[in-house]
Amino acid sequence: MDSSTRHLGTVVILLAFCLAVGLGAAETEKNPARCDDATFLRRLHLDASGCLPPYQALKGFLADRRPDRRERAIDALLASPAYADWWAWRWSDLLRVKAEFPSNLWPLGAVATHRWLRQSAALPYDRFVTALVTANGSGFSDGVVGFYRAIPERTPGYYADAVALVFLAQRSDAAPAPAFAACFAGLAFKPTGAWKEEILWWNPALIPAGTPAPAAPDGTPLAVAAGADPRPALAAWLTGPGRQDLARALANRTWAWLNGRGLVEPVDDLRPGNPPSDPALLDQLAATLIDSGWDHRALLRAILRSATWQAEAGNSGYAIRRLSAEVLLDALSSATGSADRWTSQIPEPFTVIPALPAVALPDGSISNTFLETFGRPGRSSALAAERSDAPSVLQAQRLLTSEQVQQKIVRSGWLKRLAGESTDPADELWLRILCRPPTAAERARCAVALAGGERRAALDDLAWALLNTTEFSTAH
Amino acid sequence: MLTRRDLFRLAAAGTLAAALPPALLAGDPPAPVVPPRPASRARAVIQVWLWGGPSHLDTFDPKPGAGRDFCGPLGKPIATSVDGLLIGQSLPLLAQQMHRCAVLRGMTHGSNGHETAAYLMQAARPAGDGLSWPGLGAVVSKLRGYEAGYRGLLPPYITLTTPQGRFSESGFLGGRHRPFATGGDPAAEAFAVDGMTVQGLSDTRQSSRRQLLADLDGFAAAHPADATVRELRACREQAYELILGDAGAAYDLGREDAALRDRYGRHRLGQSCLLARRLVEAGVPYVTINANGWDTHKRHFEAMGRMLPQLDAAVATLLEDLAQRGLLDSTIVWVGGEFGRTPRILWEPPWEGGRGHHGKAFSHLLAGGGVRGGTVVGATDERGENVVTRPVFPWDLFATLTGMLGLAPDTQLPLPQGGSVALLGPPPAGRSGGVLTEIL
Repeated sequence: MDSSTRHLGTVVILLAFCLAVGLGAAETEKNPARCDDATFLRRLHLDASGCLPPYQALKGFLADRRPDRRERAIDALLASPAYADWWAWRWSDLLRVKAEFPSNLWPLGAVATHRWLRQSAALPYDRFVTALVTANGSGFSDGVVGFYRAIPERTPGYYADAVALVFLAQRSDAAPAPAFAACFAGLAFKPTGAWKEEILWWNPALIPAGTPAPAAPDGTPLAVAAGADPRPALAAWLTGPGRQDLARALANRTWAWLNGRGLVEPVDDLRPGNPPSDPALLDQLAATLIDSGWDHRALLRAILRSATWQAEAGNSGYAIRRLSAEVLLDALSSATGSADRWTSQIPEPFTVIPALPAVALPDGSISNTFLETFGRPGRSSALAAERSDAPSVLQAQRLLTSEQVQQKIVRSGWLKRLAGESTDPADELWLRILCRPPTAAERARCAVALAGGERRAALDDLAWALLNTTEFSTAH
Repeated sequence: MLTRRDLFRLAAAGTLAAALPPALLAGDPPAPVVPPRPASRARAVIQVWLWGGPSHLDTFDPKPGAGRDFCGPLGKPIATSVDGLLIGQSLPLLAQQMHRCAVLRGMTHGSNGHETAAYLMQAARPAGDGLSWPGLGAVVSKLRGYEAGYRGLLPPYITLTTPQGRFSESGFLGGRHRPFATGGDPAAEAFAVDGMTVQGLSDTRQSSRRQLLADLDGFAAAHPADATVRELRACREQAYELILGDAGAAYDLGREDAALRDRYGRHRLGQSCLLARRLVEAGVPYVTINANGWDTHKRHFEAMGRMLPQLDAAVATLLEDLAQRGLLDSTIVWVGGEFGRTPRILWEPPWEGGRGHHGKAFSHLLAGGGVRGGTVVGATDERGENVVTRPVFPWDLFATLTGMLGLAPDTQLPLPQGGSVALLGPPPAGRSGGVLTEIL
């Protein structure tokens, strides 16, 4: 812990921000020690973009003495393309964006949906939800249609279940109310001449006789002309009278994305019998989202500025947790400076997949063994429990002794450059891999390792060891 | 969407189906609704999964009378070690193993899409029932793996060498029950298992790396009580036992007799079968061999000329080898793909002797684990297009295999959203010919 980073001015300003955004008394009372600057920046980038901080940005940040440098870093990240990738990644899990099975978006539809999610990262959340709920058109050219097309069971009841689960984090114990399901009674897909392309449209002729008048999930009647598409009215209800539930669901998910656990757990089971651990905080976060004009970045900003999220890791502070599959693989790639390879079985012949970071992959059918081993969700359902961040022996094996990790080290350009220099490499090794400067003891151990033999081999061993530390593979 | 209501619905459907007689063709005896549970002998499964769907006519259900438009150049089936049983002419070694095999000629499900058919064959559930069901390997991993007393260092569910890819093998059981895919090529000079070896890294260097890591993991030392940190460290220690200890020797095909390796065939499928035997010997309960390349729409017979001899040597030697080692009685060998191929050959361009997908009728092969050898279940018409007696649906096969493994049908599998569901539902109305009592 670098005590100089705990500048009094910073603390005062952070507390002021914290109070201003209304993160309550319960939060500040605990008054946990804040993490140091290096830890903060690494945590910020991992939690809100899924990537390690770029090396140059990290060095710049550690040299920055301005009292508001943390707020500046938060704002810069939330305005960057990395945030859009992160938002699209989180929502691709929820919308089950996958070319094949059990969702069948097909590669074109998966890419279109992912592109829409990415481009919509700046859209206010009420308009984001409205666009998804009222979607019509071809799943290949209008990515927003992917939400409905990814639902394998094409019945009004399942559409209603999906809307309730994805947007309100509500699960149904019984069949959805027939009046709520009636909002989707005319939804139909029709094929086009193009392979696997389908157009989603509203067909009043499909509505069975005796279908009740459409209503919101809570039973509020929706004023819709007979046979007309009730989904715009449903969206208006979700973002109007139903907005508390809508905002609380996203606030809880966002809290979980940034802290490892929701205020309500499971994050997708919001109901009266399952209260939040801190009801006032969840209400405040929901109010922050609504009052900002549904700017989800305002919600993130409030959490990222809070004393809770900036607390030191461990004990009752910030929860230490294994990095998610995609995030860990991207961290290995960016720390070493080598891209990864992907495969997809679909369609045949196999498509060429660009060298994207795992977090930016547009399609759940594109994968590799690493992602599967580290618990990437199969996107079979929209449930958060599908993702597993639990450690396993196979994962440890893959990090300790696999060609994949070894090749990343061997091919690393900066390790090669360091091998040709004669300066102390400890600073760069630690900054690039662990995103912090080494301690005196670590610097000494590094020197011992280098004295032992050939420099490149020693550098490879050091990089390998740092990549295998629990510090590297966790958010903390 | 997964909801608890699905369970009610499934349960209700089950009650309904159980009240109906199983769908059987006239003349067949009614099959019991609940699979019999004899003292199970099967401890392990080797699943040879023929990705893409092999032609039943060219393998286990030849139709010499159908003529060249159906048989192509493979119109002369051969006699086997079972009187009266003929199989494809490209499988002479397997022909000598038929007394150990049950040939399921009545396989059917009607689906012609790879992904849906693969899911049907391995999870034995129709797609779109609101749940993503696990395949048999994941079920065995759940019920015979680490949560059920398995102590082996080798993973309980191993895939040689790549995952299936088209659907998630573990379904709602989640990532913990995905198979471990070895990667690499067992037929290569130096077979490297993913996560077991790094080429050119000596044991000395492995050990010095281990020490370096211990010295540099100050974060773990600073958080000794943290649950995540403890679990990560425990997994690392176990991984080292596997990497540096004896368990990894199961992957070392260099310890096998060269002549035996030759008999299996020095190709990916042959050496994978040999490796599967070694893994089962070491206690692994489920090994899947993903044998790709059977989706032969074009120039089918050229591919068969290459692939059938490999299949023949690999599986025949596996059965003989398991039998000689006394392992066949406790090991189920299951050979087949997601469907068969269209009996009528497409001679015209661009197919030039191709076969399409055929889910209405195809064949699977079972041996070992208590299977009664020399049996044939079901039959197709004179062209192999439709099943005419004793259909074998995915449910029937799944119920038989789980029964042979001693897994009770009402064993509960946990669902991610809470609650649980029975391993085996009742036979689906119209889509079951009953448990394969004929081969038990």
